[in-house]
Amino acid sequence: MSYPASQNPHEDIRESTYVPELLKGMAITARVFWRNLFGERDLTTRVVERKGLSRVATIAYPEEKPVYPEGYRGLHRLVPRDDGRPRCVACYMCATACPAQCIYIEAAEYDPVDDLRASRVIEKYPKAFVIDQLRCVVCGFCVEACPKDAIRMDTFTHTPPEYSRQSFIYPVDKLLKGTAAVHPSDPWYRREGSGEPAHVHKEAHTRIGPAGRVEVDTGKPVPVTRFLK
Amino acid sequence: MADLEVTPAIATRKDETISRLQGLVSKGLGWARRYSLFTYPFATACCGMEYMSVAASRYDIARFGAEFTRFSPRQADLLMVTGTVNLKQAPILKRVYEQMCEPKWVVAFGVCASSGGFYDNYAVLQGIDRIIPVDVYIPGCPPRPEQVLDALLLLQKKISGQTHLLGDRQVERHLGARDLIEPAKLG
Repeated sequence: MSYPASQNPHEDIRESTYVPELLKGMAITARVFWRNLFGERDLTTRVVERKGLSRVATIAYPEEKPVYPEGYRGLHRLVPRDDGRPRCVACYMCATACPAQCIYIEAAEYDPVDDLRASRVIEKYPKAFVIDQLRCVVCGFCVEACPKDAIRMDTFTHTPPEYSRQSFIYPVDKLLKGTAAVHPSDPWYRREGSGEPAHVHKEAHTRIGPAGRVEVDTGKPVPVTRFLK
Repeated sequence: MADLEVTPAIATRKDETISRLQGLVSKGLGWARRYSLFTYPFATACCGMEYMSVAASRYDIARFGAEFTRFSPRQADLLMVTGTVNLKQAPILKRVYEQMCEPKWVVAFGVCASSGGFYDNYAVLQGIDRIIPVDVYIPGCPPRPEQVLDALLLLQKKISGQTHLLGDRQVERHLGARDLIEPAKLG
């Protein structure tokens, strides 16, 4: 019910009597109120494109959780291999790239006599991998720096608030979760015939003998120039 | 505070009645206080934008009773330290905290206020809990509004678990930096 209004109470009888405008405003308020109270909310689409009768934009947060956008950098996770161990090889690239220095890594070597397939082609694993989530500025540099795709921020959950600073120290068992990642370039897949390698844990030309000097296996072709006899 | 929990060896009927009454009063005051938090936003940096987002209509902080932002610390009972606090600003923050009336609670909003974040340098206070006690820490740089609402729910849970007294305005808090050194013990 649109009509031209001059906004001048001296000319406009409708403005000067005041009551019709008051009722009109009350009607608009009441209509929006009842619409929002009993109308159906269309939660699936974006707020501006919603078709439901109720146009309430407020999210009832703990009950309704909005979906985080595609590139949202959430809580970190250490990506497991398909045998459940972390893919991390403790190279310290993420800890070096981290501007907040919130990653602490302690490297350990795999046992050479361990008969796990991965332990012959990977030297190190993180004995301790700790992220201080209260220092982390969620920049994602660790994810970009990682050469092994071992740390990701694709959990789409935020770090929960806590009562104490100590609760934000996330060790490996809190970080290692999610689906395992498998790449054809993974060393434990790339070396097909590495079931029983001739060398244990070392490259062929740099094997150190019991006396401490380097031994060269002359029986097989050595890929690098022989510089020692 | 503590004398509510400790049952005396010989409890007279009068003592029992008083303690039960005090328990009821404490519960009622806790209910009232946790749903009417007046916030003082100590906004120094970009986290203040996120605080505005929490207060705006999409994530409406009014649904938790904390919408009434007071820009005077004397009228507020929730101090939200929103952003980096450097050493020059630390005395101001301490003074603002001391101007607030009991009972009061503190939320460290974002990593800069909580731990200094990546400003690990000579100019920035490495966490506001070095000068004032903090009840809830919110991580994130800046935190999402969901994280802030989670923290508010945590704080409400904490307030409902505390003991509230009518006469004594002191509220039982966790041992903060302020409680560690008492002036009386120093002198």
